[in-house]
Amino acid sequence: MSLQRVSLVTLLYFFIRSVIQFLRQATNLLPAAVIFFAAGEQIRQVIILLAVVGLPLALLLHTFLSWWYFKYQVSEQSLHIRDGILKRKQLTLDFERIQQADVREPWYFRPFKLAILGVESAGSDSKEVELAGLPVARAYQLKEHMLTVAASSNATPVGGKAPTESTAAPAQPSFTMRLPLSEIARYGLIYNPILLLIPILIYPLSQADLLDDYLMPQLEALSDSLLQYTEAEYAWLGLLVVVLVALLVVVLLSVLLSIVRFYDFTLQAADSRYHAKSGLFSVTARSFQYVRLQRVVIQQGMIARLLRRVSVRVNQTGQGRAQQQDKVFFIPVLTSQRLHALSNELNLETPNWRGVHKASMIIPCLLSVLVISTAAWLISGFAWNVVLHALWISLVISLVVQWASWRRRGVFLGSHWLATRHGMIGQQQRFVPSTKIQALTLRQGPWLKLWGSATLYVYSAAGREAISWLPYNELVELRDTLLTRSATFSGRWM
Amino acid sequence: MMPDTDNIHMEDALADLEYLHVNPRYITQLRIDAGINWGLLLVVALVISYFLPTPWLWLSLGVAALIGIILVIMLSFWAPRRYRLTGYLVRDRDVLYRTGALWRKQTAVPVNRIQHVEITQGPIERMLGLARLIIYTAGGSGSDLAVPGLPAAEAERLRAQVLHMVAALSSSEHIEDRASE
Repeated sequence: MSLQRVSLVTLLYFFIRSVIQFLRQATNLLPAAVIFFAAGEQIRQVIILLAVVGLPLALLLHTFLSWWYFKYQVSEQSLHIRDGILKRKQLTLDFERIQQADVREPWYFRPFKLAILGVESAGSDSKEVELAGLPVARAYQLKEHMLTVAASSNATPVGGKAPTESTAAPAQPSFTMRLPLSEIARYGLIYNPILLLIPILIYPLSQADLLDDYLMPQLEALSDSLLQYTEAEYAWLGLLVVVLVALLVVVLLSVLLSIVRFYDFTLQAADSRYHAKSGLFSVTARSFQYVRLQRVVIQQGMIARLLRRVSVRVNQTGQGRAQQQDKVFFIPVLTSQRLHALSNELNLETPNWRGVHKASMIIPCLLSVLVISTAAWLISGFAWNVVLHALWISLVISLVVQWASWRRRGVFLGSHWLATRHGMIGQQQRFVPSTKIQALTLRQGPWLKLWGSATLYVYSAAGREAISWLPYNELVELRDTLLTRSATFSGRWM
Repeated sequence: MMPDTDNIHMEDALADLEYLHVNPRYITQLRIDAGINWGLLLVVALVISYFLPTPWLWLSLGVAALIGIILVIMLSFWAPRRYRLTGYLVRDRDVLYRTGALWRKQTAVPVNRIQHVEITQGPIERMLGLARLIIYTAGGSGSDLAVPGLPAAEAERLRAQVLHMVAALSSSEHIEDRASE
């Protein structure tokens, strides 16, 4: 097969890409805007003409040329791409070294049944390539093919499952999970990005004196007008209603966002490969291979606990870092029943948590008492009676908080997994395959030595787990077990 | 046996193992490092004292004296103790390293997780003929195992040994995999 161009509709994709590229460059040129204001009338007219006529023309030309020079070729074993208008790029990706392949169906492609195939190669200098404008069926087929080649190129995967290699059509899914709309709406309640924005928004508002100069007079006028014919309590009731309505709007928006992102969330497993697909307008698909799994994180925040739901993240190599978070395989909301099914599917063990020493509370407690009391001391203008009150109040609060988080802390080593748990009101459980440990570090300072303990840092390819406040002998034993298991594990670990 | 490979003992399970000492010149390296760091602080404190008015002079001189005492402790007690407690061991399936005079640290890396091996030499290390062997894994920064204070030739030999072990292990695994298919 020779080099070919992508479908003409893909001009849309290239146009959006051009605009994004332009905007990125434009922010660098922002200082040049000074010319516009400083220059004379004639130059200003030229600039306006350029902006209104020249810029759209340039963007369109760039779009067309990008599309014209973008060519690709798919062979049995590799993907070859040529890209670039002036600076030409040629890239060959061997399917063997592909770490991840995802299909996206953005809203503007959906009427044309087209998709974007995103491919990421393994290695520290991971290259990311997007092949846009493939027919949806072809994109999924190509992704399947790539991942099959990637899986079969390496040694036999070990790690709980032995997949059957088939070069034929994708196997029938052995496990399917579909999240109903009601569950996805719940995720909007659990994870509330707009609610998180409020403190960020309040800060500039408070800085700008908007509250004092604008909002308060308005509110006062409102309450005055109410006061004219009602009692004072009624005005407060009105204010309460306004706040509640605002909150309701925020929550509704979050629910909507959640539905847009996770609509029709479907998780399927076939041949120990997992695929998840979701989205209302733009459909995103993610996948991972069981052999490449490095960590499973089960997360439950405060609201999630009230709703009795959890979220699950599955990390692959290097995905512990923050900038990789949007590529993580994520299941937004699970009932205990669904979590149970998924845990079975992933071969997670039910942990029998080992608690840690109570002395773990001492230092955090003392630190928070110190910080709160010092703050009280400074704010009150060095008034000793205030400090005394701050001391006992902060001590009580810190004790309660530390006791709550001490109760949640736990470690578990099963026959295949190492699990840790922490949290205060909510909780987080992390499962790391005990055969895939990268390095183990045991640290002991004077304080932990005094209590006969140490800290064991367990490095997996997805990040670091810290285990403290177990008896020293137990930690040493844990270290030795993990080391032996990983060192004698001869299967594929990534 | 080289003089710098005495046996040292630890109080735990990996402990019955005999860690190898690094080169005694490592003490000199530690002394120079500590001398530069704390010596610079001492100079800064003294310079500040010179310019300060009398009431503050005593405070700043006190700080300088404290830095001086720490410097003496680092040079006389800390450097030899840290050297004594620094050791490494290359076994069939893993590489071990331990260090720390007061804050003790032991690191273990399974051979089948080693990504690559590096030798580095700073100016002071080059002056003393020492090198640092760094073993990288896929666990990100912090999970690397670095053995300092090795004679340059010994570092080269150790790197070759580790790389040979990695290669041997992966080829034997390959054979196992073929057999199981």
